[in-house]
Amino acid sequence: MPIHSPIHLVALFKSLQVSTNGASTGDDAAKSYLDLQVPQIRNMLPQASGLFVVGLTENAVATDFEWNIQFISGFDRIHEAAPINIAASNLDSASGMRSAEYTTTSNFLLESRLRLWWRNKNGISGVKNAQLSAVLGVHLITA
Amino acid sequence: MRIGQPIDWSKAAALAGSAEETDGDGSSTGMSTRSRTTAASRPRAQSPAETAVLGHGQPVDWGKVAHPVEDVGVAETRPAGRQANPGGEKAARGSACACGGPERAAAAHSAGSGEALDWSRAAHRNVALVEHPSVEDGATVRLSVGPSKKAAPLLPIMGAGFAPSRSSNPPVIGNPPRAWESADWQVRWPDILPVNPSGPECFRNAFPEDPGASGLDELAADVTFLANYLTTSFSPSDTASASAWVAANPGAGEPAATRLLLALSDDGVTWYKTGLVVANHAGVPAVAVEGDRLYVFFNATLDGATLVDGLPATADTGDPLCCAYTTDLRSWTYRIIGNHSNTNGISYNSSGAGEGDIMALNAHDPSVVRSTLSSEAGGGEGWWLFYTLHWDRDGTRTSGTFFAEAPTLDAANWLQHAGKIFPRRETQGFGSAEDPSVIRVETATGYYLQYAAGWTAVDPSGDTYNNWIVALPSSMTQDDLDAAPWTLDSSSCWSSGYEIRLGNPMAQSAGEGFGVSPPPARSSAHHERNADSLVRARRGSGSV
Repeated sequence: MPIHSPIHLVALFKSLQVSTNGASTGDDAAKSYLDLQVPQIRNMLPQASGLFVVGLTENAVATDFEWNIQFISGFDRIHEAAPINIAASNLDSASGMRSAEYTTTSNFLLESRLRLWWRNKNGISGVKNAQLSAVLGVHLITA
Repeated sequence: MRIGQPIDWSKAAALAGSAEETDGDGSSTGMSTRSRTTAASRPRAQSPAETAVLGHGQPVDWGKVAHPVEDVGVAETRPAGRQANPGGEKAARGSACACGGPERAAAAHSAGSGEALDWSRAAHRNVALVEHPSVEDGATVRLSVGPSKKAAPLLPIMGAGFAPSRSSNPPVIGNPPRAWESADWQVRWPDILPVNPSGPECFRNAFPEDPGASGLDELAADVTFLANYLTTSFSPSDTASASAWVAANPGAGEPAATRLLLALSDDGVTWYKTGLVVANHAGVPAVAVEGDRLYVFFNATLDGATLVDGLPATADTGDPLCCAYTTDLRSWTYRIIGNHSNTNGISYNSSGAGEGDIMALNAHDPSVVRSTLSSEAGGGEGWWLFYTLHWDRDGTRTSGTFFAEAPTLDAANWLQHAGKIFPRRETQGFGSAEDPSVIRVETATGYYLQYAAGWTAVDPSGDTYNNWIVALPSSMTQDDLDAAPWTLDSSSCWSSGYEIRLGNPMAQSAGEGFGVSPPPARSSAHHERNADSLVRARRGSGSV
């Protein structure tokens, strides 16, 4: 069992509001994404390994946003992609933030970019002006 | 994996204050669709101590997140129905790494990221090796580039350490000036130090989003650099077997006793040593990107078997020129490019040497560069592969630089050019030249496609490793390719204003050494001089 270090927050995604008109739903729904340049993580945390913590605002969950995390190589190849089940994640009632974690299966420091993308898959009308905040953290797995 | 640790997100609420809005159709109204590198959001050097730490079950101290890595302060929204095409997206939006579109990838010389390369910016982003141990980290040096009789050359050479104290001279990266003409480079000592150094090698480093900007902190793209390391210094996971081999083969040098490993950097100074072994018993790497493959050409040692994992079994011995390529940095495919029996790769033309009988056909010390093929090779875009061959000259082993051409890096055969040997004793008057390093540079006018090359030469009368020389040839046009452009003469090179110095692409004084007379022995006092005085520009003589 790996020993996880404290979580190092390596990225703070700016908040943004997302509204949809419901016209684009399902697999055709527009995707938005945020890229984190992995070299910056390398410079900060050269021993980092791949346990990520993604935190999102609660209302992003309520609107049935679909979240996914990808690990993209310098050749634009997606080596790993995983859905993030925010709805089933921890909820901090005070802040309305939720957090979920994902562990990579390989050395993500070899990648070029870490991409977090999301979309409103269901096109629920209440999603307008949803407040989205995302934070990524990295664990150092020492054993 | 879910750990289930509660996190105090209470301070995250403030983050929502800077909300941006996107339209329902996915187009962004409030945020640029490209990465915005502002002063506030530009990635900055950050020590681990500055990072916010979130312990298990501990509240998040959002105060420590005041200075996160924020290159991700960008949201992009792709209109519905558009298929994900990361490469195309980058080309369209101008990604933070600013490497251009996929079409440029084929023109890459070397890069680790696989991002497309923009050679037009290479003039501002090259690296240089400073051989001299007195050149300190942070020093400013000035390149002497000589009067531009044809077109100004660049000095883009990085080495992996040189004589005289080969193991103590680390590679030095010159932080190039905004305009190369001003030629003030800040010396940077990278944290990747080859324990077993070899000849110079150019590599294409990352480019800033703003091509006119200076400062490594603005680099965003990956750099891949493959360096020689003694097995014990780099700590890959399987050092034991390699160390045992070295112990059982005392005196073995490069490439037998070296291992090729992979390191990554986004600024050329700070490196992430992956520990990934590209090849055992291998060294002197040259990297290039073509399509979605990263190629590594390197020296390898064969012992009638396959000391390099993945190479096809062969009865050959010696140190052939090999190639490995990968699309993901994880798995590699290996080939022998040039070997002793001339059954692979390079089509040797011994008559082209014109220097006597070639006694060892093993090509080594590669350097590859994207180029226009000669008419002999069919023309069109392709690659030049420079390398060293040894041959017998009047009973004495000597060596020279050759080059071959091929349309693609995975070509089954490379056409070695007859008559393109360098140096030529008849015209240069010295012994050997090895370890070529070539990089393509475009001039401001775009008229010339220049190929600045550096190589190490051996004074026939002196100690091999105390007389390495790096020099620069003249520029050349495409047409020159068929006219033996690598035959240097005093009218087009250093004696007319170009300068050379020992083991250093930076100039020292004209007319010294290479091609003119054997380089003089260096005193210790000479080697202790300040770098500024050693490599200062000759503005007064009009050479800058």
